[in-house]
Amino acid sequence: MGAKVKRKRPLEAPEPLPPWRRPLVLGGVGAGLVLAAVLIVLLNAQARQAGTPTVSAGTYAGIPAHGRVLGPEEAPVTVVEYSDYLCPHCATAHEQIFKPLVSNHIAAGQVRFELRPVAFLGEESQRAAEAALCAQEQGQFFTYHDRLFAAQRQYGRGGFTQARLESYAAELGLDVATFSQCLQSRRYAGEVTRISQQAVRDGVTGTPTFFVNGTKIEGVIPFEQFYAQYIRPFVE
Amino acid sequence: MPPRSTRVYWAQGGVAGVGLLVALYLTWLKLADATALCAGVGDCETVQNSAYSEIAGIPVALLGAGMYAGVLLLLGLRRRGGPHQAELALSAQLALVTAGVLFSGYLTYVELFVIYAICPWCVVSALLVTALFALTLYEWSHHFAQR
Repeated sequence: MGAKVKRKRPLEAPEPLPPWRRPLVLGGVGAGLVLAAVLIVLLNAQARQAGTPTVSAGTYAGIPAHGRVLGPEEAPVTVVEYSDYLCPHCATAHEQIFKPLVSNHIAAGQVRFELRPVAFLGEESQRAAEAALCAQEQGQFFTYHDRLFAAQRQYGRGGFTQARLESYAAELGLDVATFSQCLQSRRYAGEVTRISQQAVRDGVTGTPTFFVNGTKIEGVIPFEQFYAQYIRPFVE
Repeated sequence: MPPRSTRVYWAQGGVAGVGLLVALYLTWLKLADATALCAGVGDCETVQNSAYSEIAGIPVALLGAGMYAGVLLLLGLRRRGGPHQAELALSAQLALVTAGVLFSGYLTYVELFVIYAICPWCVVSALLVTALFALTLYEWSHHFAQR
């Protein structure tokens, strides 16, 4: 048995580089820069798209609305949702449960929906909920609600600075001076605290939590299941 | 004690291996969407659910895992191939980790100044890719300085 041949250490290449190969070998940094730039451009384009609200004001046209409540009083099903604007799963519930509920069942008069904004996740949650209530003063609770979830998807916590909250109000055509004054005065701080305390009394330990005609549903479930299990028994 | 170049080579393998595990864990967190309820948990969730956590449906953590796996593959090629193949593999590795360190740096900027949320596992990955970049650049510059 011969002794094991010791493997050469890598990168021992004594002969000079052929000229045609130099750019290829030395171009590592350049290729990395280009790849990173492409990724950053793609990422930003996507984030901008995510920040575009996907429910427009027209979505709520013709639906009876009273502040944080959407749908007719006589609807056979009442859905209450406790939601935190900073909670990613609430943003998912907004897309996967709230939106089909609006277009298919609230608009049809089958469901009356109440949104209760809570502040479980810190200062930004509180500020966003107060801002939604300031928008409610101007009859735009639900369009502003849509805007807040779009902002969460785009910016996370950073979407709820005073300046950004005011910019969303401007985008939606609210009276920005009135809105800013409302936000700065913390007019709805007590209301958000009251709703959050109510949530705790109702046994809510996380968001989103729904109550459909009094039955508690925690977290996000597929809309088909949400409808079949909790709505259909009351509307068919 | 093994020569410095060998130590640097194996250090790259170690860092890339740990980085791959961290990136796979973050990918699992993103894809499994483990909790469907927000109950005051940390900011990893905010980061992992933000618009910056994926590109065209591909989690950025999976891109990171691909980068670390690519580095491990290239390290293997460098040991098995001839000298010129090893050079090309080293340059390809430098391209990968340059992209990785820049993209990771940008994501850290996004965490700090855009979404105001920090995911500790993402910070660990950012530190690992920075170490990998430094080790690769060290080896690359030493190798080509002699040519």
